[in-house]
Amino acid sequence: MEKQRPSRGNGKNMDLWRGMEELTTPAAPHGQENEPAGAGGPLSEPLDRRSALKLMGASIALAGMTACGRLPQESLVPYVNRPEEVIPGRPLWFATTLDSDGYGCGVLAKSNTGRPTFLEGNPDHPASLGAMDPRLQGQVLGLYDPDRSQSVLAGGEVAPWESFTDLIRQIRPVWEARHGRGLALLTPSVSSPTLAAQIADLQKRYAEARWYSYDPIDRSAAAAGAQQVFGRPLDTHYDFSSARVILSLDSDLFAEEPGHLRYARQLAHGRRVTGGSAQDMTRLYVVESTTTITGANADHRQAVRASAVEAAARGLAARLGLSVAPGSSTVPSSWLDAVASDLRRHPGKCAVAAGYSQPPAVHALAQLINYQLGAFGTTVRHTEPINAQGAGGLSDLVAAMEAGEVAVLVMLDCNPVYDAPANLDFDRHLDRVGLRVHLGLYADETAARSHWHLPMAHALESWGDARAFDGTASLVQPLIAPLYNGSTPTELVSVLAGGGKGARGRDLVRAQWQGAHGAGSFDARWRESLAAGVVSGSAAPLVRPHPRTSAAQHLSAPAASAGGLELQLRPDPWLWDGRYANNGWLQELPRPLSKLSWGNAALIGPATAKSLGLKSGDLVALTLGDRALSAPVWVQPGEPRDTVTLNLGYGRRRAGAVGNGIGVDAYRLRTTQSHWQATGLALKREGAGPAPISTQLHDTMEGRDFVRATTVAQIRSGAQVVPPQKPTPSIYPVREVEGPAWGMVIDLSTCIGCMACVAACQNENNTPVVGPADVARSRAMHWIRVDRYYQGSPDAPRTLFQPVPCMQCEQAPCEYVCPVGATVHSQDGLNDMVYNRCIGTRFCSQNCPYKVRRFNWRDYRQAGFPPSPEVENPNVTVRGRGVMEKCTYCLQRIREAQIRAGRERRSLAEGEVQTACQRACPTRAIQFGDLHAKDSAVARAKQHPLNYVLLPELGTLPRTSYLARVTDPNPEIGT
Amino acid sequence: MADRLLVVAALPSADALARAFEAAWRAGHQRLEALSPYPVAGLPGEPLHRGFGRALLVAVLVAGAAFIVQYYAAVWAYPMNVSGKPVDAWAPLTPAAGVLGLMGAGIWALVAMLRDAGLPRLHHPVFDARRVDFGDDRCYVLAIEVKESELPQLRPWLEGLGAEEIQEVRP
Amino acid sequence: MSAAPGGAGARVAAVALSAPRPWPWTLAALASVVLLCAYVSSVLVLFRNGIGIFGNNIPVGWGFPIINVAWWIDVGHGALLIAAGAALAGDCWPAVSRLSESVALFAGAVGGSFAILHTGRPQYAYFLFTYPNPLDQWPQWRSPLMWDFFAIIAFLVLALIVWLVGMLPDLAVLRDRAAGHGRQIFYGILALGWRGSHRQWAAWTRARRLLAGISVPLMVTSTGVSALDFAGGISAGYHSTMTPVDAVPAAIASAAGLVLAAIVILRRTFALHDLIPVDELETLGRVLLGSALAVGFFALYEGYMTWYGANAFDRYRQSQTLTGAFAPWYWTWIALMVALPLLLAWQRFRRSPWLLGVLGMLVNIGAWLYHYLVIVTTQERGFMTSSWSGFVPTTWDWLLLSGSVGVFLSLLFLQVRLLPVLGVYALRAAAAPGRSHG
Repeated sequence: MEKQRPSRGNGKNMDLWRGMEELTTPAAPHGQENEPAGAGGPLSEPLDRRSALKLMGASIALAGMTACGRLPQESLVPYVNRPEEVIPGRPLWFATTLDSDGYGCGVLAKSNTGRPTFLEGNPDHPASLGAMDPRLQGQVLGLYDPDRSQSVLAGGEVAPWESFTDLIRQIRPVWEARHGRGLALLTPSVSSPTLAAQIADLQKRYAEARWYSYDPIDRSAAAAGAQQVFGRPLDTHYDFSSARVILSLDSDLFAEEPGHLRYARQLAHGRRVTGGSAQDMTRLYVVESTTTITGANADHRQAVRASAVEAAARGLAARLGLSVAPGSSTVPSSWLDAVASDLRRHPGKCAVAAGYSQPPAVHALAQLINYQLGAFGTTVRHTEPINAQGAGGLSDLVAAMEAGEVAVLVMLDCNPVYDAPANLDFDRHLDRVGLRVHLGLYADETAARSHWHLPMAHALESWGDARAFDGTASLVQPLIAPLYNGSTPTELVSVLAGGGKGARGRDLVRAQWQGAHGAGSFDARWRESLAAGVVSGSAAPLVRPHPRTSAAQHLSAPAASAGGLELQLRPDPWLWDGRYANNGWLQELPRPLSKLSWGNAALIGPATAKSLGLKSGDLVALTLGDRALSAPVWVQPGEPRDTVTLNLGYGRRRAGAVGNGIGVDAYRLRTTQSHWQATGLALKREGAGPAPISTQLHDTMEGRDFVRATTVAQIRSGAQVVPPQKPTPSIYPVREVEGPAWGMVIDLSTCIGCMACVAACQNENNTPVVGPADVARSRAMHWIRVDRYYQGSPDAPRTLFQPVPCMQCEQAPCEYVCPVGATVHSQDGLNDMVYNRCIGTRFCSQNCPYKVRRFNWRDYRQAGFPPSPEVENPNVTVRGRGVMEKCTYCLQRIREAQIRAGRERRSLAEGEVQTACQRACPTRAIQFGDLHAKDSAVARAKQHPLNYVLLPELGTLPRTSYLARVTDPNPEIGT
Repeated sequence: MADRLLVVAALPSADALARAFEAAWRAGHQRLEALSPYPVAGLPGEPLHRGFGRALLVAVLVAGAAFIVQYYAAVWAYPMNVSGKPVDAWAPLTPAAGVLGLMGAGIWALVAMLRDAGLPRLHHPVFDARRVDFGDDRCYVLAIEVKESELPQLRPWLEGLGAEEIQEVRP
Repeated sequence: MSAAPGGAGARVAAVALSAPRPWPWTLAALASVVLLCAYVSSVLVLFRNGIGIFGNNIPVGWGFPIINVAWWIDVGHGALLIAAGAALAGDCWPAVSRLSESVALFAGAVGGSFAILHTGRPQYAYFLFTYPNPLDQWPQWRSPLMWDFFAIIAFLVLALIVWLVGMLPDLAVLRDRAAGHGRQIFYGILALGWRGSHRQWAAWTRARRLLAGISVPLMVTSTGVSALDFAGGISAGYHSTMTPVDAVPAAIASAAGLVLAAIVILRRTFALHDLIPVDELETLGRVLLGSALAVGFFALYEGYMTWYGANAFDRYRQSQTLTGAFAPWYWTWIALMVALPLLLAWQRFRRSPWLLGVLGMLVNIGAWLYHYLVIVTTQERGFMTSSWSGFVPTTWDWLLLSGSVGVFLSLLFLQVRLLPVLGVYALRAAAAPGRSHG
């Protein structure tokens, strides 16, 4: 790991002030010209003394900087349905907003005596509808990350905040004088109205100041596509609630698109099999360039290299009567015919979605097709751009830096030194910038190259606001005072703009919304917005654009698809662009398809692997132009031919103790031309390296019927999917339990395998992170796992997901083999673990046919990757070394509800107890409740003709059962 | 008892020892003991089958006790729902009871042996005799307890039986 | 001390008391002590770092430690049965009796130690006892592990009694031949004042036979119960009604092998050829041959029943075992434990000490492999294919395994150094002119 702090020792202040001149003047290579006469002498003299004082202040400030949970000063407004008053042992719930891939997503944060410990989706927020995804879930762990930046760093030395604000006060007159020439701001695209407004003000104030924005996972292609079609950039989002046919053109609708949680919920509504009758389903077609859960859930999937998607889109457009030049498509034309006719059959009830990794042409085609099919306004919706963007992108910034036009570069919440395209050589050009300021959660790669690093407050520590994918605004309120004295981007920009020193984030946000709402009855609305977690009626107005006539013809001619290997760069499902690299939960959480953990790999399809003579674990050198990278190979069924897919976000050098050096840094192969994919990749085998770590080593069911699958047509034809399962006879009578009988039903038709349940379970149940070494030894601890099976040919397999928590067997094989009675049955039929009693013979796990039990091989609170105790759920025992553990159906939640009900002298209401996995599930695939309550949803589901249990022949009588997976393939397409 | 002596006669062979013992018994000596380096045929001893019955009884008693303890614990003291089996499912309680019963019988066998052999008794007057040496492969010794007055006629009688060496020790 | 220097008592006592230690003996003793240290140190590391140091995982929750329990305990069981057989057959095999009694106790002790070491929290192993506690907690009687716990205890107690009772007269021999005062007191106390009176011999002989009679059913039960740890489970490969029965001949075979190896080495090292006639070895060779044949029969039977049972999971397991991933272990086991011992069908081989010794060791390697096959590979391919995984032993696994061998050998060497290694009474009876043993 390289240590590249700016080479500035004690002389840094001198250096900074020589920087001062640069601030005022574009630094010419050897230009002392147009320097204010004698500016240096008089200026520098007093400042040196001040800087000496500053350094003294730094130590004092450091001594005073202690991180402990303090309640914020401002009054927070609890979620309306939750108790208002703090009762020790009873958590409070607050509605706030987290960043989800550049857009806001509403969450409910659970606060135990001032500590945020758990996150749930906010049912009232359009982007969440009460669901979660792992990236959101992990942010509560990130809050307590001990590696977070804890203090202001001036040239790598700890400094007090005042030293920075003083510096800005010194510089500001110069900016005033020169209209901010030389001042540049770099941010990701901004979803916060407040921040956007502030930046606008800043630019009004300093006309010459420049604002650049850069998103490593950028969606500019969509805007460009809209530009081509409508003549102006528009944001597109979808409403699948009424859709009958959906076609995804390389768009990971359920995991990566803004609003993916909502989309998943809406699709599930169209695919859930209620009752025995099989109604038509919302049919999903996917043409994709890599394996995603969207493709895994498609009725029909075509895997083609990314550059070949456009040809498919053109072919489809042509079939739908658009006059476009068709490209030579690798997708069978019969397939396209069937899709086209299916789309035509459902005008206004269908949608075609294009993925952000596709070129503008594909987006344009999707828009045109949707228009052609009358989907505008029904399933496909347009708004003016939600996120505010800078005038220029990263390339423009680099150009400006090269030209020496940037004297002060303020980088807000971004890490370009790590994630900038390699060909920009951002790192080197930084040297041309006189004063580099970085605000971020971590003292990361960029911080190391900045003169000033300023700690940023975590979302759960700060005031702010954010717009969702559809423009709905929601407020960000802190649950805890900044642990590390961090500051928010809004606060920092207000400092730059000369707003009074120490402007509080809350005041800034209030001021913004006061302007929006108008003064009248503002307080009421403010409180209501905070409580509900959304600003009512703030969704962006829909626009009904009309494509320019003959927009189709103006499409650029189809690019001739080059041969050879194609490199595809995609965000990591959990680490995203790398910002979550230091999050133990996310590093360890298996990726949905590959089940890889702790590291990325070059994903290649079996056919490609065979032709190249590669196997999983081989080390290969990937060369693209003059850039090379060596990465381990992972043979991933379902990857298209002649492609190598790499996930971004790994190979961090300054992520922190957890993320440093995990995986390979795919950004090193990324260029501005080949942002998402590039042809002409050279691959050479270097030998065998350490095999990538995966949590599922066997991909098929070996003919066993764990996942039962059928189709709507088969059900109609009366084919029996689930033969009646009679329990195996026993010499003992079945033991009846009185009181509630807790049970679970998991609907495999709607489960999309997104892993949200696993992440939520880990958060709720204090499941430890065991680290790469132990995951490689098959010692991962997740209480619920999502098994992924393949059927059919490895190159175009059918993918089946199956979440497996504890089956809570009524005749549990784990119980009778425990010599000390450490696992026994509770009265309500739960299979309990008595941690204190367990001596760790592990016979229970040996005898568990479902292998859902997990063992504490080490003291994972000491060894490995100990989580901060603050994040742990106080209602769940922390397990010690040598103890067995497993899913408890969230026993703590059951008992909590029972106690509450008992206090209120009533019986439990239906749905009053919800397990963590159930709450997090975007598609509501998990049902949980009392089997004895005949009206309960779960009891009804148990009567469903598609209901079945795992391994019935063993006579374990599981309480967890499954609804067979039902798909609705197009009969015109031979499966 | 002051007037009683222990006459220790060393004999040349196992058969001689057996004969001498037989003769002494006939001669009406009650208190005599034949020491040999290995079990010698012809010397009296209780029949070998004796004790088996009692061992069996002990085994049954211990096993029964073990079963009752388990049954009490499983049904009354600590009735848990284990794998949905009835608390009074008794079959799984038998293996432990069985092995414990056999262990009890084994312990009884040891105790019974020590009792019948009069062990442990670290010292015995006969050890004072020179020819009593268990380290000697051919230590065949007949020990007779007699009154001092009987000694004169006993000596020649023993020599007549082939005693190689005769020695008196006081108990 | 009037016995001829060549007498059995003198010869046997000399081994313990005064015989010069030949250099191979010293070397072997040193080696075993080194292994003993490996055992102790790895146990310390185990207690400090927990069982994470082993290669176990989920699904393979049981690894080397459990294999070692099963292996050693089986050897002990078999040795106890051999000892009982010898006693019931007239107690005229001084070497076989004494050494199988010792092997039973020592192997049992080593195996028992692993039963504790393998648990995640050995400090709470006492939860297994039924002891009065404020929580009113009792053990869970229906667990095969609970049965095994009692079975091992019962077996160890009986093995200890058999071992002590068998040595009692010979301890008296050492007592009376010991030179130093300290040694005389030491052996004197152990001998409990044995003087070989006709009553004592009668009581002793009776006890010997009674204990032998108890050992036979206990050995069968205890071996069966140990096997129930697996047969009681539901995994395909564990769950088999015949497992407890198969275990008995397997145990006898490995015990016979180990005892043979021990006797052969002892006989050669201390030149006891005249005291340990080849006939005695041949008898044990016959036992080995017979038990190996039984093992082979049960392997066939098991195979047939699995096929006949037509359970999909069992059949998959069988295919993997016969021709699939686990075939190497299976066939090596068959070769070492069934095929090779068939050599003993020829008297020439039965009477060749060195071959018997080597064979004895090979058979035990085969027995260990068999336990690996049952315990580890079964779990590598369980019911849920999604959970299939492999098992890779760590350095500590190997250290503890070899260390356990060291503990066993060290105990055996101590026996040779301090206690009678042959049944003197039997040697004397055999040597004496005329009849003996009523």
